[in-house]
This record gives sequence, structure tokens and C-alpha cells, in this order.
Amino acid sequence: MSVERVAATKGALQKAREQLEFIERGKDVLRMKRDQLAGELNRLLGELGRRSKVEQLFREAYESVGYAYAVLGYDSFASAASAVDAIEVRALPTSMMGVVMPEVELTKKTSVYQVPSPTMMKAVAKLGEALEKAIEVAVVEAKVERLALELMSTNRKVNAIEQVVIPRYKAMIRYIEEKLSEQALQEFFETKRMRDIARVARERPQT
Amino acid sequence: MTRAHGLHTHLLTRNDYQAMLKGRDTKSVSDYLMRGDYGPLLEGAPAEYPSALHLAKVFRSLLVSRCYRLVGIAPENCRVFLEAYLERFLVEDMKRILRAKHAGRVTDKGSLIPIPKGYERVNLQAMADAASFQEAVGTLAKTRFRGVVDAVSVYEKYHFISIVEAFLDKAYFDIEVRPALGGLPGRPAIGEMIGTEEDLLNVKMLTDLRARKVSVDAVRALSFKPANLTRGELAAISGATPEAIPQMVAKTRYSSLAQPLQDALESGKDESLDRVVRLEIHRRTKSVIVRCADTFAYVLAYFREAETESNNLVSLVTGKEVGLAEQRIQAAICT
Repeated sequence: MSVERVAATKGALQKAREQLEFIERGKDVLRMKRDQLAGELNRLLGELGRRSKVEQLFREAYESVGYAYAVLGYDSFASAASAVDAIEVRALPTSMMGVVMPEVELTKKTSVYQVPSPTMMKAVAKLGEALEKAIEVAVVEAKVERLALELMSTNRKVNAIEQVVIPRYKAMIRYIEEKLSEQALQEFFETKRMRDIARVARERPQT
Repeated sequence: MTRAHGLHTHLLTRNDYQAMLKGRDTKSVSDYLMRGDYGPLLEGAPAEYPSALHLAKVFRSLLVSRCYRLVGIAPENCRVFLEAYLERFLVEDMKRILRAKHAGRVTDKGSLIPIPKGYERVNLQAMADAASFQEAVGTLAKTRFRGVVDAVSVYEKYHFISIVEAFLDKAYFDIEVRPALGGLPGRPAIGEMIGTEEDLLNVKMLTDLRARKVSVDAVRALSFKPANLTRGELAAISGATPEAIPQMVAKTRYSSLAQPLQDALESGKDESLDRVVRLEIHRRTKSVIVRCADTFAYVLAYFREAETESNNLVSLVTGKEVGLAEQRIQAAICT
């Protein structure tokens, strides 16, 4: 709202003051949200360090699977692998400060005991462990991504409120106050002048 | 037997493996093999990049043809035994079908070992077409493998396909191979070879199932009759914890197996139970080839060598395809 277009009335001043108070309360809430999101993000960033460990686990699992492949051959390996149930996961969306974040629950793990070939058991154990950790890291990464987006958006909102909205409202209030002050002064002088004219008229001898 | 001697010279040597190990990829292995028995079968392989899967089928196909070629010309008493011995291909096919049924998947018929017509004593087609695992096992009720039907209750308790596979192996040795040994020329050496394989597979199966926390009673019910091991030794192995099994094996005639078994059980090491057993059987077969060159045991040794060659080549091309280093492939094969 342009300051010049505001009606300089006491009602408008009252409304602008109320709105400013509301906006400042909102800004405080958004700041708290920003701090909370930043705290959570910092905590999760620490967990992201596990990614390199997961990559290492996958490298080891790949080596192990490669060896099992070589010992058994592709068709025996595929046949033995066909006896293993696939893992099952369930996605559970949770909310943190209004941000929808994924949680993944592993409802069915791969049992190494189902693997008919003992050669494959070690490979499956390593691969299963790597897969479980990869799911955990993927969840953390998804959370970080969503939190970072929300943090950016909240930060922009807080900045916009601090740098643009609040100064504008303050300027508007100042403008109305000045206008009202001018009007009051003008009214005072007009009243005083009217009073003087009336007094002069009263004191003038009647002819 | 003379034919077996002749065919034995066609098998690959250690130098052949070394040359192929140095090859860059499956193409170089395929090119190398073009010169020998594999040549005619490899002509159909893609010239640019023969896949390990395609090559593995060629290797299995030649193995089957090499073995059944000798069965066809063997005298009656030997033929019965050789046919029974080669039921191992049928057992492997049955395992593959049951694994797929266990997981509710469709059997890839292309992955089965091609058994020549007339030797397929089980209707694999009916097994593969069965609607469920139980129905597939049920198709064995009227065959010599009917004992496997009894394994279903144990299988249902643990839900491990390994249990049914152990029953199949047990039926293979107890019902197919052992009864066919009677009246064979060179029986002591053959009995020794079969017994060794039974014992080693027994140890492998017991170790494997104990590692899967299958109860001692169930494991004992699944184990084969001891061949060269005493009942006491077998009972000690089947009753031991998986970690203690190598120590128990060390006290038997298979003491050389104890350390590799220990390595196979350690999670940090690559060694596998399958390879440990394969290597031990290969080592003992080599000794039979030297000791019993003029007996029928040589034919069985040739079968085993041909099977080892097939497994080695499958390992070699698969290793090349997945990009394993030369040393790692070397560690996966038996030479």
C-alpha cells in the first residue's frame, strides 16, 4: 500500500498500528520457525556424513556380489537370488513445523537365511546392510532437501517482513501521525484565529 | 574307459586358464576357446560381445554332451551307474525350479541345464508349470524323489529352500547313486569318490544350515548317511555350533578342510563354502586320476573334471563380465 494513498485518519492510524503489531508477532513466529528449521537442518547435516560410509559399504558389497557371481555363474546366482523375497518399505510422511518430511519404515527385510547358496549369503548380508543404510541416508537427504527449501522460503519471508513490510508500515504510521499532527495544529490555529476574530468583533464598539 | 582317456586330453589345462585369465573380456575367452571343443558351439555367439550368460549356456551344454556321450557307449552295468550319477543335472534343474516356486516367480526355462531326451526322469515341465511350491513338490510324489515330499513340513516350519535342496541331495545319493554302485568294476575307488563327495556335501550342508540357525534335530534328519566319516564324527559335526564345526572337521580324515572352512565362515573373508567343497573334491579327483588311470573310477574322475572345467569357465567369463581383477577370478576357480 502506498503511503501517499492512505487516509490520514485516526481510524487508519489505529488500524495500521494494530497491523504492525500483528506483523511483528508474525515475524517473531517466523524467526522461531527459522531457528527451529536451522537447528534441525544442522542436526541432519551431521548425519549426512554417513553417505560416504554407505558408499564404502556398497563398494564392498559389489566386490562380494562380483565374487559370488564368479563362483556361482550368472544362472546359478540368478536362480539362488530368485528364492529371496524382495525388501518392502512403507513411507510415512511426518510434519515438522509444517514441512512434510518422509520417514521410511522397512517392513520386510531380506533374510540372508533364505539364500540357498552359502556363497551368496555373505554378499547378500553386505548388500542388505548397505541397502538399509542407503534407505536411511536417502531419508535424511530428502529431509535436508525439504528443510532447506522451507528454510530458504522462511528466511525470505522474515527478510521481506523486516526489510520491506515493517519499514513501510512504520513509514505509513509516521506519515499518518505527521498528517494528524499537522491537521491538529491547523485546527488549533484556525480555532485560535476564529476565537481572536470573535473577540475583536465583540470588543469593537457598536455603532 | 579308453574313450574317457581320449576325452580327458580335450580338457583345459592350467596354462589354458592362465592364458584366459590374462584376457581382457569375455570376447578374449570366447576367442581362445574357439580352437577347442567349444568352437562349434561358440560359432553362434555374438561376435562383438558374447555375454557371460550365453557362454555359460554353451559350457553347460558341452558338459552335458561330453558326459552323456560316454553314457551312450558304456557297458550295461556301468551305464546304470553313470545315468544315476548324472541325475545331478536333473537335481540342479529341480532346485532351480523349486527356488523360483518358493519365491512365487516364474521359472526361466532357459536357465535349466539341457538334459538329453530320454534321461529326464522327472517331468520338469509339470514342475515348472505347477501353481505353487507345494504343487511342484507334489509332482515328485510318483518319482524316485518322492522322499522330498516329506521335506515340505520342515520347509514350512523354517521357510528355507535350502532344506528342500538338502533333501534333494540326500535323495540323489541315497536313492540314485548308492544303489547303482553294486557290481561296478573298480567299486572301491568309485565308492571312495562318491563317499568323499557325500561327506563333503554333508559337511557343507550341516555348516550352512547350522549357520542359518536350523535346529540340531532338523539338521540331523537332513544329513546323509555318513560314508567315510564315522557316525560319531557326523553327530559331533551336526551338533556343533557353526563356529565349532571346523574344529570338529579337523578331527576327521578331512582335516585339510578345517582351515578353508574356517575362512568361509568368517564374514570378513571372501572364501565360500561352495568353493571350499568344490576345491577339495577337485583335489581328491586329481589324485584318483593319477592312482586309478586303469579302472572305471577314471570315467567318474573325467566327469568330475569336465564339471570342474565347466564351472571354472562359467566363473571366468562371469568374473570378466563383472570386472573382477585377475587374482579374484583366480581365487574363484579350481585349477
